[in-house]
Amino acid sequence: MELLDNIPGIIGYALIKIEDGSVEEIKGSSNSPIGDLVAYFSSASEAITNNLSLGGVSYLSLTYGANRLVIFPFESRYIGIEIERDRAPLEFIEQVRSQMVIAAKPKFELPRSISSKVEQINLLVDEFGGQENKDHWIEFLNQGLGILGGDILPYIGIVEAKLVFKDKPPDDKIDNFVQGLRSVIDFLVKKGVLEMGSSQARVKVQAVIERMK
Amino acid sequence: MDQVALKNFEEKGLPCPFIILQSGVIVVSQTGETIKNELTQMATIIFETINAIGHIKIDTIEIVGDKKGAIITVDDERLLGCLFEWTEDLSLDKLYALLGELKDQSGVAPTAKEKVMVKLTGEVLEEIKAILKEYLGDFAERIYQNQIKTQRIKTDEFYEEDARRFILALGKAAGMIIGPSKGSELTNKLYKILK
Repeated sequence: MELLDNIPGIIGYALIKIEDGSVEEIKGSSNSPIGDLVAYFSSASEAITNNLSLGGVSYLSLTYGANRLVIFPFESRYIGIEIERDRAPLEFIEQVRSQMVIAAKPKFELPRSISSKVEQINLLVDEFGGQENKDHWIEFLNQGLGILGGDILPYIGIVEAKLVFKDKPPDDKIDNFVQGLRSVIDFLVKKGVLEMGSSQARVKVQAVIERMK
Repeated sequence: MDQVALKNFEEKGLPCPFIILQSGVIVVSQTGETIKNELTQMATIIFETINAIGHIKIDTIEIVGDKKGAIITVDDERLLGCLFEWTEDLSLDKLYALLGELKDQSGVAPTAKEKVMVKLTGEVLEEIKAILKEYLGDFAERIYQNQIKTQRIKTDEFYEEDARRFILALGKAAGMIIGPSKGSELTNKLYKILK
């Protein structure tokens, strides 16, 4: 669901069909089993709202660790979005429901230190994955971001198979974000060596360096 | 905690407060007496759902309908919560604050009383970090710091239960870098620190 890919603050999301509770899509860099959480809790919330006469399900919010999962019905699905724990659920629900977010998306310029790392990451995924294996490498990228990204996660997303910043990084976090992206680059290179051997991986990394010149 | 104590919280602004143990024991304010069974059923559904998901530690649940809503804090094997109706001046933050007070005043959950809470020293964290470095090299520090934040580990209030959760998360994250078998080896090695 492209709309969700563009909303700043969303770490990951899952879509569940209301009709049969099956998982339609899971995306993002979340480390939590958000597909299971949305599927189980959306069904539980239907039973509970009926039982206690709360009315139709408006939304459900769960907190765990540093994160919050907000689940709400939208058209024929339940959408579950993982955000930071201290963010307000209704703010995000409104953004999705109004579908105004893309038009309202502010323009900003990324600091060079960050944009060059983002470019490097996208080129690595492109070189390692090529056309045929892109999804596999996007999956690696999400894994790397999930375990190494830390505070970056609410600011980034994968849009049309490319890592993008959805929101301007705060000035006091730029160094930390650069470190995080550097770790993700190291992670991808390590995966490249494991997947295709060191000499082949080195050729791909060299190709990225050439493309960045 | 009894019905009178819950009534006090109700007077402070916590609507229809309740405490439900996993065993099914329920204490509810007078206004909730008529829906006692429904509340118990809700608790059963919540505990079953949490158990079905497994290893994730959910600590609050908000279920909001068009007419009314419920806020629940999950505390070991008990739920503390309230049922509210939507009004213009409703503040969920205020309800959470009152639930926090209710939790403090009602003491620890019965099962937690039976558990031995073993507080660990800072040395344990240092040992964890050293072993992590051995397996993950330059990735270690970032993985460690990210999981400290994600798992909400308080380094000055670090209990064995937190350590187990932390180690499990570290092992899972490490497995994505060094592979699942090495990740399991790391997890087992970290668990040995606790023995």
